Order: sequence, then C-alpha cells, then structure tokens
Amino acid sequence: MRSVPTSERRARVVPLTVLVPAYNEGTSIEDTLLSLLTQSVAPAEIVVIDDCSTDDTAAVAERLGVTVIRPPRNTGSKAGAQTFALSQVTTPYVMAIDADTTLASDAIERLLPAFEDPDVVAACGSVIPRRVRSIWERGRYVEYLFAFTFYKRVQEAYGAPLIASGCFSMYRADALRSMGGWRTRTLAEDMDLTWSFYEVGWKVRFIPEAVSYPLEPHNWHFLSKQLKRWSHGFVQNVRLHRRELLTVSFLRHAVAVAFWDAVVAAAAYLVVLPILAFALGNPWLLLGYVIDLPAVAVPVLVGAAKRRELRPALYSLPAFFVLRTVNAMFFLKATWLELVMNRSFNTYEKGH
Amino acid sequence: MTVGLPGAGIGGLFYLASTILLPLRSLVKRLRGQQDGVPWRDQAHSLAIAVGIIGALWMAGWLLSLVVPDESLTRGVMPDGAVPARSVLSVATLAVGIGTLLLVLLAVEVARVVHVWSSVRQLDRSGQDSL
Repeated sequence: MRSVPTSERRARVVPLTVLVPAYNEGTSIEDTLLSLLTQSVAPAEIVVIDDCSTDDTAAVAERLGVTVIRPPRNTGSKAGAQTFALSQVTTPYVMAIDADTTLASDAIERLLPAFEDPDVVAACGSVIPRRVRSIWERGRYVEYLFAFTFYKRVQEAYGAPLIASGCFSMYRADALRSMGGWRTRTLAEDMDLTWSFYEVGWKVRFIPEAVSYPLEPHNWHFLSKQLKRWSHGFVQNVRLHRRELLTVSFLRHAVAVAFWDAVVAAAAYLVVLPILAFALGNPWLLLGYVIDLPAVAVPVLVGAAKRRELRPALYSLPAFFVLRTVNAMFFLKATWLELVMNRSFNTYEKGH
Repeated sequence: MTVGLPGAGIGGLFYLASTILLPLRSLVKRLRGQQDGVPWRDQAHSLAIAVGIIGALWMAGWLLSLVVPDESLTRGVMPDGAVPARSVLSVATLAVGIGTLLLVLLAVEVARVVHVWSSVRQLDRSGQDSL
C-alpha cells in the first residue's frame, strides 16, 4: 500500500470534482487515485462510484481517503455510474476519469485554463497507453501517437475535436447537467456528449499537453469487447446525430470522412484489395496494406521523439497495421449490423 | 477512439488538405477582422507534419521504383508496354482519392442545404398552423 506524499496535499485546491466510476477495479484503482492525489493542483473532491463491485474496489478507495458512493444497484455502464454521481457534484467543474487511467502530474492544471472561455464546456487531453507490451497495446500506442500528434491537433485548430475522450475529460458541471449527464442511448457516451455540445453551440477543446495514461486491452478478449463497443457506438452516434451534425462546421466533414473510411474504404481494404491481387495474379498489389507506412510514421515519430520514445515507437509500428485491419473489420461489421440488419448492440461490456 | 483507417483512406487526404489550408484560413479571418484562435506555432507544427508526410510518401514511391520493377507492379492492371505506367498509376490513385474526398464533402454540403431548407419549411408550416 503506497501513501500519498504529504507535500502534495498542500497543492492549490481547484473547484473541481473528479468522478471515478469503478466496477471491480481493485487492482488498478489505487494507481488512478494516487495520480489524482498527487496532482499539481488539488481537486476539491474525488468521488469513486463503486458500481456494486464484488472485489475490494471500495476498500482501496476508502483507504486513500476519497469519497466513495454506491448506487443501490449496478448501473450497467460507465455512463450510468457517472450520471448517478453528477447530482452530488457541487463544484462548477467536473472531471471523469476511468479507474484504470493515471494522469501526468500537471494534467488537471493544464486542462483548467481552457474554461477561461465561457463558451467552452468540455476539454480533453492526450492519451498514451500506460503499458506497451502486447501486439494490441503496441498497435494502440502507435494509433494514439498518430491521432494525438496529427488528426486531433487539426480538429482543435478548426474548433471541433471529434471526441472528448471518456477516459479523461473535464466539463462545466451546469452544461453537463443540462444535457442530462452522460446518456446511455449509445455505447459511446463520450462521443454523444461531445457532439451534443457542438449542436447547441458550445465549444470543446483539446489540450495536447494534458496527458493521461490508460491501460489498453492487452489481449484479444478485451480488445474485441472494446472495439465492439466503440464501433457500434460510432455508428449509433452517426445515426442519432446525422441531422444536427450538419449544422456544425468542420465536424460534419470530419464525421462524413470517418464514416466513409469506416465503411467503404474498410470494405476496399479488407475485400477488394485481396480479391484484386488474387484475380490479377499480382501479389504486389498487397503492398496497398502498408503503402501508407511513411504517412503514418511521420506524425508517430514526431510524437514519440517529443516523449523520447523513438525506439518503442519504431518497434511498435508493424503492430499498428495489424490493429488497423482488425479495427476495419469491427467497424464494417458494426455498420452492417446497425444500419443494414437494424440489430442494435446495447450491452455495455468493459474492455478497458 | 480512432474511427476509420487512420493514415489510409480519404481521411488522410482530408487532414492533409485541412492542415495545408490552415494558414490560408487564418489569413482570411484576419483580413475580415476576426480573431484567429490558432497560435502560429500550432499551425507550423501541423504544417511541418503535413509536409513531412508528403515528402515521406514521395520518397517511399521513389524507393519502391528502385526495388519493384514497373512490369511487376502493373501486371494485370495495365496493358503490357503501357508507359509511363508508374506515373499513370500514382496520378490515377491520387486523382481517385481526391475525387472521392471532394464527392463526399460535396454530398455533405448538399445534405446540409436540404436540411436547412426542410427546417425552414417546417418552421413556416408550424407558423401558418398557429395562425
């Protein structure tokens, strides 16, 4: 059992409540809470929502001196647990963080200034996997370095980050309440919330210097659950917001392009390319799977160099192409099931 | 969550084009007397990455031309003796990508216009009903 350094407890207190939804997170929540308790600025309150865990999640949290609340029954999702706790938040700002995510020591301090603009209602930071060992973690590491070094910065420049990640985002509490909290109508509640904010004219910011470190799926079992949730969540959000999104500049284009790539480009990638290579007897066409390696490598290596992680980034590059292929399969399947077969998937299954 | 095929697909082209257009957008905003909230350092960072990507892709194409013979790459795709096969292929690939991207963006704009038009009509109807 590690203790909280006493010097850190003297940090300036900021009017922020941190919500940590947790279901059987006894093995990971200690690191999360310690990273919150040792922030350069101290949140007014840290609340663990113990969603009727059957392990020692609550005991670990209580030992570290944070508030623990327990809904009368399991809420069934992270969104449900967070919204349950929202009614008890009294501070103007609220932050949600997964119970398997840690923060850089200055992450909260770096996010807060985003709210100096009264129109900003949410802010998110960069995400880097904490462990980079298995092929899936390596693939995700490269994917995040790519996204947070290039795509997300462009989205921020145009004032429309695609999503304020659910694993680590800060909100204006009033705005969040006016939306009814984190809604469970889709499996990607963070995307639903972000797009809803834009649709009523509010702003969301991406602050690259605020860094969080989640545990990413290390094996196929957890990865498939996560990708199933993400892919169905994305398609559900596109269907739900398709009209209102048209009023949001840049975002409407970014979502359309992402949807096209998730469906048509994924089909070409998974089906057309191998069929062409086989039918034409030209295996060189399979180079198409990795032809964009230089395009991926540039932002990844720029992001890795800043973190002094060039070697792990280089080693991990091949894993990205494996993960991308798997990603394409899940998004294609989700689109088929949700939009063609009209079979919506609504079961929240945690996959880290 | 990363959606689509990061790096590949029209998403890559979309973000490259958006990056290259950033300074132009800032300039237009300043000329109109509007505030541009994007610091020049952030713009330069993204622009440098975009230039790096384009350069890296060009270099990869050049290296590929040294390693893979033209006939191998175009076997079954183009008639024998079609020259300059590689440049035709790369230009065609780029043209298809840009064309697809423009079509998708255009479709979104058409959908937006239709959405605005139908919303206005709906408002008009509800206004007449209340009268």
